[in-house]
Amino acid sequence: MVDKMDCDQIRELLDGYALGAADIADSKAIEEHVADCIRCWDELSSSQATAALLALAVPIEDAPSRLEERILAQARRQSKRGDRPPFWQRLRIGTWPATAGAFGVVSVAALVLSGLLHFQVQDLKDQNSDLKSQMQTATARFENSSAQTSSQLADQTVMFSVLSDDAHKDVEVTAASSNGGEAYYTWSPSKALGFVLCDGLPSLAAGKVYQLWFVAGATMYALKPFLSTDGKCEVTMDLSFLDERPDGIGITVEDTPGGSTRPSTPWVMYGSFAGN
Amino acid sequence: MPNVSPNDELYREMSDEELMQRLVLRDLEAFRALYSRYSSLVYSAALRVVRDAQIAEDMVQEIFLRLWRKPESYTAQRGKFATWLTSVTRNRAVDEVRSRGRRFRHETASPEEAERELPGPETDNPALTAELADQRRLILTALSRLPAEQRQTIEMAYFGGLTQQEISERLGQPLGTVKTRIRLGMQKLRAALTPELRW
Repeated sequence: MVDKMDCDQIRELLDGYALGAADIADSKAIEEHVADCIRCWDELSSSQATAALLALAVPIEDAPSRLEERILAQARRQSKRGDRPPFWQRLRIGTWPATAGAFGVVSVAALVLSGLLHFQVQDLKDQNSDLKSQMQTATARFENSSAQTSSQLADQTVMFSVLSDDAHKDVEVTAASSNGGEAYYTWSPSKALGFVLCDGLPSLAAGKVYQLWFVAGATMYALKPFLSTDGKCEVTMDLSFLDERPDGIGITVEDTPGGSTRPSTPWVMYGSFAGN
Repeated sequence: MPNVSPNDELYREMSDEELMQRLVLRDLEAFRALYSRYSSLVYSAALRVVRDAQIAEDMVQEIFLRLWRKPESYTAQRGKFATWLTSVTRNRAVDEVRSRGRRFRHETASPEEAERELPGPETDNPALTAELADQRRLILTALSRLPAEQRQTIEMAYFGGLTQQEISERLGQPLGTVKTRIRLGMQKLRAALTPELRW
């Protein structure tokens, strides 16, 4: 059994990892360590930023001129097929507060989720017609909105409340690996409410759950565990329990169905609040 | 949909972030402007790693079309657009090299030679061209000030896609020596490039 490395040992390895040159054992040790250590996570971010700059130093050669028309023609063709921006980009509509006055918060919240599902369905249509069965599932959810549970309605209300705050903020929660999906965390500081939307999350093994965490210095605030059968998630949260400003939000995979009290695995995704 | 005017001058003056915002709205002129601005940089970054013009062309196509399909993959939190784009290109190129099981002989042209022989990226935006040229000069200067063995090791890792173990075998140096060279070299680069780090 190899002892776990401490911060000094891990920091010796971060630059090699940032260059993509660490071996598998070192990479695993680093990923496990930074899941628990925000300072080493920051150090790693700094190494990665330095490494990224190196790509700007390449000798410049002109791209072949024939490429431009080929690429633009493909982009045009994709546009004609109805390529659309992702659903969370299209959610940022400035007219919701006015709509709320007309219909009432709960009914508009239901419309928000229904619209969101509609957009998700449209995305699926755009991305791949072979996903018909998934579209049908999502469409069924949309059409059965009248049968939504009180929990779903509560989630919709939170999402609506956050988005109707003009001062709401959002941050991208970045996947640790290239196939780790996408997520955005959106919150209203004045209302102390927030929600996370995910797409493309990797499938979970049996018995595992995803869990959200706030990171504040060395403190980990456990948030809701959740399951995702289709790679998507919509998780709302009441932030009034936070007594300090967190540094970031992360997602891990945990073994305990009800969630853990400390992250037991590396971040699947992490978003820093630096700059917000 | 916004009414998009094909006004080249207007698009030339837009920042990268403004062009990316317009990509979300499916503005093909903004896409053309970004392509015009960065295609050579992306091509060069890909070529530097894969060393094959046809593969590099395919990668330019893949990367720009992905940008068109998923403009939200870039956010300002990821740093400057040019840095992010070239870094994405390099990572994709290394994946390509590794998936093909190919390893290219590492050529260690000095930073001074690279700067003398080949100019920096030319974009359609003079201010941006100047900024990229300044940034490139800063990075090349920082690299040129590294001891040769540290620079070589970092370049083999970053552009060659080699692991530290593979570098150790190629150079006939102990693994610990390779790790130390990388760590010391990166520390110096980080110190020299701190003003450029916007993360």
